[in-house]
Amino acid sequence: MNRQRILFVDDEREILHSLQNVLRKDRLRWNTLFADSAEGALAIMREAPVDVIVTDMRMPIVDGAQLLAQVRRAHPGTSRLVLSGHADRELLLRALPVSHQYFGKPCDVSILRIAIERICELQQRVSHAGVRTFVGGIEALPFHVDTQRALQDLARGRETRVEDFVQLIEVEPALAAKVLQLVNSMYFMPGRPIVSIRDAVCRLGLDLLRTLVLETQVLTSEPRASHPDPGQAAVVRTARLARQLAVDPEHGEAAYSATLLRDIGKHVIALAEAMGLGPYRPEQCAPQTEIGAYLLALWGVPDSIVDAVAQAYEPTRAQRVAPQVLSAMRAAIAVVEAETRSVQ
Amino acid sequence: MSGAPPDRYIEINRRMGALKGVFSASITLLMLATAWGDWRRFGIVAGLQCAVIAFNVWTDLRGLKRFGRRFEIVRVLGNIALGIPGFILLGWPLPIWLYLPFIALAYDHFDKQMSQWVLAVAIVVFDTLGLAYGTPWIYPVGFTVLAIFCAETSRHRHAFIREMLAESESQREKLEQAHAELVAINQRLAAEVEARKHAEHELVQAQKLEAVGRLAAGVAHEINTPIQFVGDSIQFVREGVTELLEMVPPRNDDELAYLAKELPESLVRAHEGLRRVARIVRALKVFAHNDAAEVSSIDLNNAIDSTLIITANEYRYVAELQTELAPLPPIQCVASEVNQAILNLVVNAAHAIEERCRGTSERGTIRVSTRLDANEVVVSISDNGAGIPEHIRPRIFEMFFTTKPVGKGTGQGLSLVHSVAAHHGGSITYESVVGQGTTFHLRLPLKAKRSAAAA
Repeated sequence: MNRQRILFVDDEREILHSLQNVLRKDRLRWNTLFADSAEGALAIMREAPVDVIVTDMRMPIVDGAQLLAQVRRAHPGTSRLVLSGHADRELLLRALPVSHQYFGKPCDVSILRIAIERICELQQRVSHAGVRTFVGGIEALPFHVDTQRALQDLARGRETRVEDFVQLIEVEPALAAKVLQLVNSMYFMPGRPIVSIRDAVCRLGLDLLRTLVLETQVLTSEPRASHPDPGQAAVVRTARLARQLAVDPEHGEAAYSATLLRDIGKHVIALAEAMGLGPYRPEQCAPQTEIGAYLLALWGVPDSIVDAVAQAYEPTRAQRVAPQVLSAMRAAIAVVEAETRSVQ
Repeated sequence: MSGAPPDRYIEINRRMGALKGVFSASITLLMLATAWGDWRRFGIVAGLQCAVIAFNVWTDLRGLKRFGRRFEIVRVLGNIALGIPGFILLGWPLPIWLYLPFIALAYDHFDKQMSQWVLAVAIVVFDTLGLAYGTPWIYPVGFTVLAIFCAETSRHRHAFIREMLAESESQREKLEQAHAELVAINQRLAAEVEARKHAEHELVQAQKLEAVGRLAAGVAHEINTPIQFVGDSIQFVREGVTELLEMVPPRNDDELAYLAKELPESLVRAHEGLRRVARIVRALKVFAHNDAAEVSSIDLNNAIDSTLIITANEYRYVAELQTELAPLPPIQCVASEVNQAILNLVVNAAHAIEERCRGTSERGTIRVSTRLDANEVVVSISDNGAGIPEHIRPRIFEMFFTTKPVGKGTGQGLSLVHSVAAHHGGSITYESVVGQGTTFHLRLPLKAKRSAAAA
């Protein structure tokens, strides 16, 4: 088996050295590479692409955000992580569009190791290079123009409350996935995985939401979907049912999020079709659930949701996290399907 | 017809009473002088005039008060009835005609209509009787003209005086009104000055908080990078030492045994110490939220934890800390302000305990709890310290009010808590028992209703 290539970029050599030392025991599975500047990193990637890049943000000449933007263009299949000591907002806003996950210094190496492990595992599962490349390059998923407009209106409105954003985002999988990604990044110091979409929106706060919508492309993407998703109402209904079926509120929120996001892979495939990449056929690459799970894992969405999405329709892998979430979701899906069949 | 004349108008007429008496006495004397030598007529007329004077004095003192102004008609008729026989007896000499202008001037202070009637009656009676007796026509005509002239002059003068009085009255009213307005403006200005002082103070506070926040964020970043590589290095050395020790062939050596035991342990200690440093730096960053007084959503329990970590130095030596933080939804607030408010309450609690336990080996307890109450979050901070003395309770939230010695308190702690609570649409209340302790309850709405008052 090929060793994964993991590239670390930081202008402080002490950081690189100590990382090299502490990751030495992973040398059998990972080929760790180190660069003390963006130029050095790009040179390494020109020789051979890397699977994961972990970079500091503030560096002389070319900084982390610029580096990741170039990586995104040249090597979209590479997973892009940030490990930064700075936590100011301006820097964050520049990092968000180009990075998959954000870690703050000091970050226990075990946390970083788990995150890299998880990405590597999924990269192997979704081995199709085309899928990996495509998913890696996705900044945000398209959603309907009306929702886009509603979002803009909320951001401009003087009387807007966080609750209004919650109502809008809670029913739009593309937005929900994005806010879960944002809020679970280490910038927000969540302390524990945030699985509730409402919680995620509230934590982002009105101010940042406005900035994100009006001044960045983080929440919005091109091309926009011109047709509303006809299945969306059913998806939301199933998700609400899953929340009710869960044993306790925390699992209920995870079940809601997982159920809402279970077909996020279809959004990815639709986006690929819209961009003229041709239809993805399952036999060619991977099932849509795997594609969706890969996207969510890459974005750092909590494991309980990712695992549930991956196994939404068939138990393909060993259950690792929160079986309660999965069972609530499955039960909800089954109930709604049975209802639909009996109506027909 | 104007309403009741102002008091000063009555006063003028009262003063003229004596003058009227003197003048009518003069007319009487002139009249009597015409009968000088004819003692019978002199006596009768003198008697009648005495009756007239007595009647007038009685009218002035009693009659008018008892029967009202209309009694003036009676006075005139009475005067005529008592006076006329004397006039006839004297043969209408010249002084009698002086009564006409006198009446015109003396009765002008009643309302216009009545004084006109009085004068008209007098003129008609005098002229008729005078002419009937055979007085030369020039007397009645001349004095009637004079009386009418006097009446008109007087009427105009009175109207003028009335106007002047009314004007001065309205000016007085205007002045009073202006004065009241001035007082109100003054009060408003004073309040504004006070509010501005307050706002300036708060601005300075906010700027201070912001500066602290910026400083903390900078320091935190500078410290975080070394923490990262020191931590990684310690971990590497720990793993390396363990591997190295496994590689060393077993032998009986005290030094080696000591190192084998102590090296990994000391590295665990170092790692633990570093984690504590990282925790403090993280707490500092959360506490000194560099938010430039903007509203954001925060996890209040996390903020409280952070505040307690960085204030540990204040309470650690005097009190045990107990926390009971209920799960809370995120709240919208200005994080730096709320953190500062909680810090102030914790520091106050520590000081209250210190005050009670000074010089003893006793330690107090500070309890910090949070709970959700409808749409509000309640943070309660209790101490079993000295309590708040009854007499200072009304003043504890005042700015610059302090009971602490110079250098220890600036008197801004609780006033800041109060204004933070107010800005967020929340409240701060307390229960206190002297000698047993105090509990402060800081209530904050989930959604900040922040006023624009602060910077």
